[in-house]
Amino acid sequence: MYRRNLDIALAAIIAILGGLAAAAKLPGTATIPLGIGLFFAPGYMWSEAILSQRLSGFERTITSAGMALIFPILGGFLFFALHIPLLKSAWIGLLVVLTLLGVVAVAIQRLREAPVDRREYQRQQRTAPPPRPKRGVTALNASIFGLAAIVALGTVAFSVKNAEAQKFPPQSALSMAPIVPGAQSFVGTSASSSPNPAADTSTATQAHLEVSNYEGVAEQYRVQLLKKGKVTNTWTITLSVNQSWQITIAYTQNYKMRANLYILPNITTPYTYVDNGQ
Amino acid sequence: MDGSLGSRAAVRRPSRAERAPEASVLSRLPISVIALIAAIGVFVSSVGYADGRAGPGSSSGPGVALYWLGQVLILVPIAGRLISRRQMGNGSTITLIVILTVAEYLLKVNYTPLGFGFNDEFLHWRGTTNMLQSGKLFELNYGLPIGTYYPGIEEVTSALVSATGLSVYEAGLVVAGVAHLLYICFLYLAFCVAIRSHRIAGIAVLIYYSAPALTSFNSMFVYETLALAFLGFCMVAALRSAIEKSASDRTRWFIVAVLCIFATVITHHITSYMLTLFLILVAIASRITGSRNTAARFGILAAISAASVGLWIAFIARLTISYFTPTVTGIVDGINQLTKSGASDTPQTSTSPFSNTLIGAVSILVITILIALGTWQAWKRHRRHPWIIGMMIGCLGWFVDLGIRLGTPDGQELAGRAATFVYIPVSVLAALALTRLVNSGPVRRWGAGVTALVMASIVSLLLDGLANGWPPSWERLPGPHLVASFESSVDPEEVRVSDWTLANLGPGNRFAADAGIYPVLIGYGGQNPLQQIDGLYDTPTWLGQAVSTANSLEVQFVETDTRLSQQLPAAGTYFPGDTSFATQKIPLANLTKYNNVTGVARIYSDGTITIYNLVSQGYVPQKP
Repeated sequence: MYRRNLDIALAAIIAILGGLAAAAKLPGTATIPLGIGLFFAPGYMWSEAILSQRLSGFERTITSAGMALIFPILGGFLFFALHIPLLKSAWIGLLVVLTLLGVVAVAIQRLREAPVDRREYQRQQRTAPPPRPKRGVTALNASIFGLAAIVALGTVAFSVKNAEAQKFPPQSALSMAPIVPGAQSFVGTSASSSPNPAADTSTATQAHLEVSNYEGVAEQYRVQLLKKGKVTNTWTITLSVNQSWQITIAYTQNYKMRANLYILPNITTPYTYVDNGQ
Repeated sequence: MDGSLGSRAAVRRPSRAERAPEASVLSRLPISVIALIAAIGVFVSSVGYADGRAGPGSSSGPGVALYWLGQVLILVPIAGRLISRRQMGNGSTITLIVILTVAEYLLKVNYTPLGFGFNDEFLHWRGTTNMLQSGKLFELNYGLPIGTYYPGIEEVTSALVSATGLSVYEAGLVVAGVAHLLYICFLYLAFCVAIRSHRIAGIAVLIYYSAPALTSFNSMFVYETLALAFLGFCMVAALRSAIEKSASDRTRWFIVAVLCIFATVITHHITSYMLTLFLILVAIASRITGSRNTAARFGILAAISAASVGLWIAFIARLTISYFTPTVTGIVDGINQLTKSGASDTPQTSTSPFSNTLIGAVSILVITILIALGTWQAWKRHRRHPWIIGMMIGCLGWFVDLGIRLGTPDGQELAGRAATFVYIPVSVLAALALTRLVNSGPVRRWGAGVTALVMASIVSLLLDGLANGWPPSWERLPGPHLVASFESSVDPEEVRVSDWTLANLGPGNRFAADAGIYPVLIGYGGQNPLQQIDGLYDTPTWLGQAVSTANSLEVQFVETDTRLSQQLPAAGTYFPGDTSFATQKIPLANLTKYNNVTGVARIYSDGTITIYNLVSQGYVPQKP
């Protein structure tokens, strides 16, 4: 009896712990396994509740996983209809509540079930016992499966390392982006909103001048700012790999502005440049 | 007998023909060893990928050879074991199918292991990110406006991200992988329930693997991948709702089928139509074969599905009609042209090597023969079986698919995508034919030679699915940058530039950009890149066509990439929305002309990619 209902207790515990872990923003080592458990728990409970008949382990697994994928879709749509924002708390709440409701549904269902006919049960146990492989063979097979899993997962690690090590042409980036209030923050896009209205740079009075090093080695740069053709500022900077340097400058479109980027020691030909279009 | 599908398949005593008087070497391999060989196959193919990344890309002979060797290591032992006459349990068949699916999915992951690579994946990445940030369901997605109204995959991924704290990419891989595996498993279960033989069901799933999109588009982080899992689940639930002995069980499976229908309708348009079609097909076949209860069950489910689709389009996704109108018109026009002249004059927008074309033609021939033999088998032995007769009728889709392939613009791609659905009935009929063939007297007499021939045919079908699926031959392996060419155009540089646009320009700007960076600008950049913008790159001067294109499309920013002047696009076109092949490289002056236009600011440059700001030209709507 207790063993039979162990799954209900486990699902409830996982749902509560998963919800708490996600809400408390615990480290990934705790949040990821518990979160995955929380994600699939409603599917298992409702698969048990709706398809209460005995299913094979394989069928139970895939129907549970299938229902786990269905619930966020239908639940999300329900939340949309109820004008509940689909933020993190809503998703976690949905998964926890669905799991706990499933626990109740399964518990009620199991209480209602007719007691098993002992003689029938014993007859089933006697008839056609599945042939069991030898223990040594099972252990060997399990070892080989384990080895296969290690090799397969190892290929992912190998591919990640290999892709990270892939060589790309070295580059340095220079930008001069006018600062337009409201344009730089994510304001969200929705079907009812107009296109981003904050893209008018003609009235900007400041700009970000930025240099980034993607050369694969540390580099020394010189940045020259020219206004009306005359050098007004010069900065010499050293950037390590993937490091950026940024400064805010006065900006206008009333006269010509240009920034040149040199990679030292070459100070005769700019590597690249940006301007204000005047 | 406990009523489970597995036991139904397993309990049925194998027929005389299913016993194995002789067994090939492959059929004697334990499943665990096959799993290990498949894992080694994944490793060998991944080494091929590594060789491509080391420099030569898909032109690396050893790399390509390693990739195919790995595929052979995955496919041959599994195919050999499934086709073998040696008796195999339901559990072993399931294990083999799971091994095959996981191995192919790992290869998909290993192709771009650091982030999404395919266009549509970026679009769903953006959709999920928007949903997580705004908490709203129907957020505008510039790259995939229709996807806004089918938010299923975004909802599931958002829930997983919220529960686990995984990144959208990691959660997307989990969702796509689980959905893909579920689809294959549900398909197997559906075949088992319908055919009542796990052996034939296993062979049917094996043949289904020759569908060109299965290991690519149907396992990517796209909405169809998830919807297919629901389609498979619904097939199983609908079949069980018709065959269960207990009325209570039938009702319970019926409820599950309805839930699956709703989830499919919310997740993907085409899949929901195909699900409706499938339900109608089985209802009709049940009526023909005299199974009135089954016909009623499937008829009701079909009506629910059709009503759900109709209501969803009417009240939520009205854009669906205009989205599909050009495709449907193109198909109809192409097929009309084909029937009138016997040949299509539709433009070809893709090329493939002769070897791929040849293996594709052989596969068409093999499948057509298997369909014919399977139809004969179905009529001879299963004419009272509603599901098999339904699949027999469904095989007509194969010939429609061939018509689309030959007679419509981008027919190869459309037919490949349609094959996901068409191959369901095809694989059932082909499996019936193949099983009969393998068990036939002459084959048993001629032994190993004929078995090897059958194996070679099936493996060639599977290799055809891979060779003519995705990625295409010119990006079989990851490698150096190729211009305007899907995954091969997505380097760290494109990701950096896109991140920069979002951070510095805000989202939703109207961008003119080449086809390579286009999806990344939508995804990571949150921008609104435009289509049919080639007029901005066709002239060396800022006059005439360039000005009118910028004006009419209200372009805010133009992206140029000097590599466009050095390479022709392997994918055929430089810019999104182009319909004709590029035959000449773009002259550098066409790209650099913006440096000399007064009022056009050069705001970003890394020496290769440059972004120009056209806003001050006054072509775009100013702040309201």
